[in-house]
Amino acid sequence: MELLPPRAPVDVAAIFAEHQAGLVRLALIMVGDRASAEDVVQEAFARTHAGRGRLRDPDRALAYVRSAVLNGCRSVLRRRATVFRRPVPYEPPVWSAESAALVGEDRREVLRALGALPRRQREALTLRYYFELADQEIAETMRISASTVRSTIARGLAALGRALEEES
Amino acid sequence: MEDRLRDALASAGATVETETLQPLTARRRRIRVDLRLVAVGLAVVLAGAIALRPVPEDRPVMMAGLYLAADGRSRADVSIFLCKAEAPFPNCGGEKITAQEQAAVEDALKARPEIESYVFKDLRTAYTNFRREFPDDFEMITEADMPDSFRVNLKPDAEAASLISAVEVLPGVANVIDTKCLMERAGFLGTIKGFLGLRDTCATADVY
Repeated sequence: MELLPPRAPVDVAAIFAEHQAGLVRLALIMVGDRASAEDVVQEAFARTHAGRGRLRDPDRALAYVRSAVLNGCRSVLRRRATVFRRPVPYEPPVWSAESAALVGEDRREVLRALGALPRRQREALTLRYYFELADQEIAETMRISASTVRSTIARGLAALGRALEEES
Repeated sequence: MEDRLRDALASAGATVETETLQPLTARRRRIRVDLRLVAVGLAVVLAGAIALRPVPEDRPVMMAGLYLAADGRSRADVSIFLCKAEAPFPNCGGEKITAQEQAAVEDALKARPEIESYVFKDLRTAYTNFRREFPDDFEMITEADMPDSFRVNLKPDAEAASLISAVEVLPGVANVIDTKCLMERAGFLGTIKGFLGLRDTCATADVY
């Protein structure tokens, strides 16, 4: 077995404090409502904090934390799907017509179409076009390969284009 | 397209103002019944009892065995596992259950008055559910590892014991697990009860 050099423990609290807003936004885009999004991030923080002894590589900590948030979002969507038999948010998503939070019908359309994509495409597109992450970073966050990231984004963009064209 | 998407995402993200966020707290983890945290000792014994493979010492096989026994999220009361080819159970004789034997098991279930409902879960369904639960772990578990099963729900207050003893002797039945009892035992309260010697409700200890 290879002996790893001892490393300083990762400061999970600092990572979350610095990135909380970004993580909540990521969760919001995934789950659609603010309350669930904040819950997901809180839960991910509590879990990561409890398991911080296993987080050894500070360079990867943020990717790990983003992964935890994405996983939390998946669980929320899965739970909703079991309760309602389909993925619906508990309250109108920020991009619904009832929500005044988002300005412009065009943006709402884009987000609705994004929400209708398969999970992987939705996640990859968000990480790329909201967080501007590189293929490799997206790959680490989603735990898939970089080439899969590229093809997923290409497919996602194409599907999004088709969906929006049909609407208009 | 890319710009429209960027713009829409940015505006959705902008609805979250940093100042209004609830502060995060590093509270202690809640104790809850999580399949993945159930006592390992129990899992080893169980995996032996359900045996996807003859040697259940490794964790994936253990977890898959436990998952099967627990019936995932479906919450059956009793799970009846059917013989696969080369299954290491005395009742199987190394043979897969035949169509006639399976029909006989089903007839037996239909005749039991305490059964509210039952479903047949084939190995593919079992595997799909398992994968959904553990998408990134236990890659070495394959569809071929999963057994076919009947999942039974009992009428309220019905006892599982006589059903279990009637069904487990039928040809082609690998074994029968009192899933409801298992989950009660595996849960936090069940474990505490066990320590205190208060374990009483599940009377099918010989299964495991």
